[in-house]
Amino acid sequence: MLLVIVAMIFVVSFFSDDYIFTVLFFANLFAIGAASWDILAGYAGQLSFGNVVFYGIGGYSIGLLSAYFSGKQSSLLGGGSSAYSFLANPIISICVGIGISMGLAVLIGFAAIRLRGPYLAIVTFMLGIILQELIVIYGKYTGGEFGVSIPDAFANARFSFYVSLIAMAVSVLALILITGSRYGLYFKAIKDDEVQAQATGINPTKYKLMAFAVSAAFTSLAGSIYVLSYGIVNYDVFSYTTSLQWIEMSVIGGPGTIVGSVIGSYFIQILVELLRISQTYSLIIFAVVFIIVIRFFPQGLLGFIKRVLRWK
Amino acid sequence: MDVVQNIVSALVYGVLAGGRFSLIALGLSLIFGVANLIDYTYVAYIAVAGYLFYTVDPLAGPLLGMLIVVLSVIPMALFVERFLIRPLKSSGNQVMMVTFGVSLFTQYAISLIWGSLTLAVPTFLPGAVSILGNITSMQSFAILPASVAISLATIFFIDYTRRGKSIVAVSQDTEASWLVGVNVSSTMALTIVIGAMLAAAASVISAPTIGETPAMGWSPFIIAFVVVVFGGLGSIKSSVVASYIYGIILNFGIVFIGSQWSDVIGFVILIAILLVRPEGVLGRRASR
Repeated sequence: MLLVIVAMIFVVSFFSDDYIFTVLFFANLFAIGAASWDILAGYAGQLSFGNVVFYGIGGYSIGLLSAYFSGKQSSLLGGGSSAYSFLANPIISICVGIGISMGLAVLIGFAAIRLRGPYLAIVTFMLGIILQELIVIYGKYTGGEFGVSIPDAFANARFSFYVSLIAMAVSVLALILITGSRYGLYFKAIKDDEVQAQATGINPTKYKLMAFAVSAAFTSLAGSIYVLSYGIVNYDVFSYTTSLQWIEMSVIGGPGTIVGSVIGSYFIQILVELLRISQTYSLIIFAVVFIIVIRFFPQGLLGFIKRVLRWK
Repeated sequence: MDVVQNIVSALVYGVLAGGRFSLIALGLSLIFGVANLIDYTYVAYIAVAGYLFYTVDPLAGPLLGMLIVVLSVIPMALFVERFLIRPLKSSGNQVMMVTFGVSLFTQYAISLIWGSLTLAVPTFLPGAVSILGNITSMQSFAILPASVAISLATIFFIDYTRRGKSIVAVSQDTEASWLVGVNVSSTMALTIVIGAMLAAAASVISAPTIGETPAMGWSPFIIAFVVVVFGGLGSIKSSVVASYIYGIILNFGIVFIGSQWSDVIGFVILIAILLVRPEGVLGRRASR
């Protein structure tokens, strides 16, 4: 299924222009975010409303590391020392971002052990807001509301798109493999009935932490790519609306399925673009679709498609 | 002397803040604390009430406007309860999701109708008041007695009226309540409706002191949530007490540490309560 999608996109990309590249670029990033959220919430049952923090960490890793260590001029912070310039290397920065995100994920995971449903949701939600504020409070070091610019951003929309496509393909593939493996089974077991899972010998703590870490890693990757492409990162990158969008995309596309999340994000992203007449209209329709899907189609779009296919 | 003044300031503003917090927490305490329903629509009620009041106030004046607004959330609450919450009640997560969708929808709808710029509602109580050397506007101060009055009314309703007691009964044991003749579905609807009305009232009363933005429901919701958990689920009284304590703690934080840390403080308190003492100050265990 995934190969089909990737192939289609690849083909389409040859005929496209910058505008479409940008749309698909975001669709890819959102797909990573939505899929990562899904493995955490749809599979392991940990409803995190604050996944955006990992996205932001990924973004700021790139931003801050390049600002401080690349030796080149960058907005408010100046070039810093070029002695450690290897740190500004995008690959290293991405890895640092992923590392920090996974660390934070484990911490959150520890809290998640004791927190059910809405409590976890609210706590993670607030975490995003807190981080946003902390960025502003320590603006001297982080560039605050104005952000940090990266001297070596991606050249053009086409390149960004290809990078995002590769990242999406890799991430989604990895996630599919994980969910297909015994770990995926463990996650589902924990979501369905934690006590039962424990009785069967599955250590819920260990696997909850794992789910968080995995989710964080890929989300962080998406954040890094976003910043590398745009060249600027500010506190908006921690905005809770991103978390919400992932949730909407994943739920609409098919909660508990990785491919569903991908479908969901593409669907939504394209819908949003088609309805560019007024951005607010598209958001409302988005929300209405969300409500209808939860109420009537708990399996999401993917479930709907599967049912249609089965009819034939 | 300066330190004493600061402490007094913190206490005064803390109590005032507590009044605001307890008002906004009442509805959530009822829906979430007493009836144990996870309802994100609360966010929407706050925003809708605020914006409706903005529209109605110039036409009908503040008091009548308040009445109209509080009454108009009733159909909204009934609709949500009947068509979205009731059919999905088996899965708490789905209820959470669908009401979350409603809150988003409302946010977008509001920005469509009223635009996304911050709107201001004119104050209807002019003047300023000075308490122990600390100045605050009459409008802000008036929230306190209003809050106390409404809180007492709600507590009275829950503890002493038949309807109120049936709400508690249904949340404790639905089947048993049904067996003794309580109309469960209408009681659930009642819970949501009263909760929504309380949220609307809180929003309207504080409206002149806060700007109206489409996303304005989230911040009060989080405060209400922290307060309800802090006080302990299941008891309106404990939410009220907790809100004053929280208000004071928060203001001590603001006075001595700096106001930009206020959200962080709230967050820390929330985490601390949830992990260390989920029962809150006095109430039911939060992590059920």
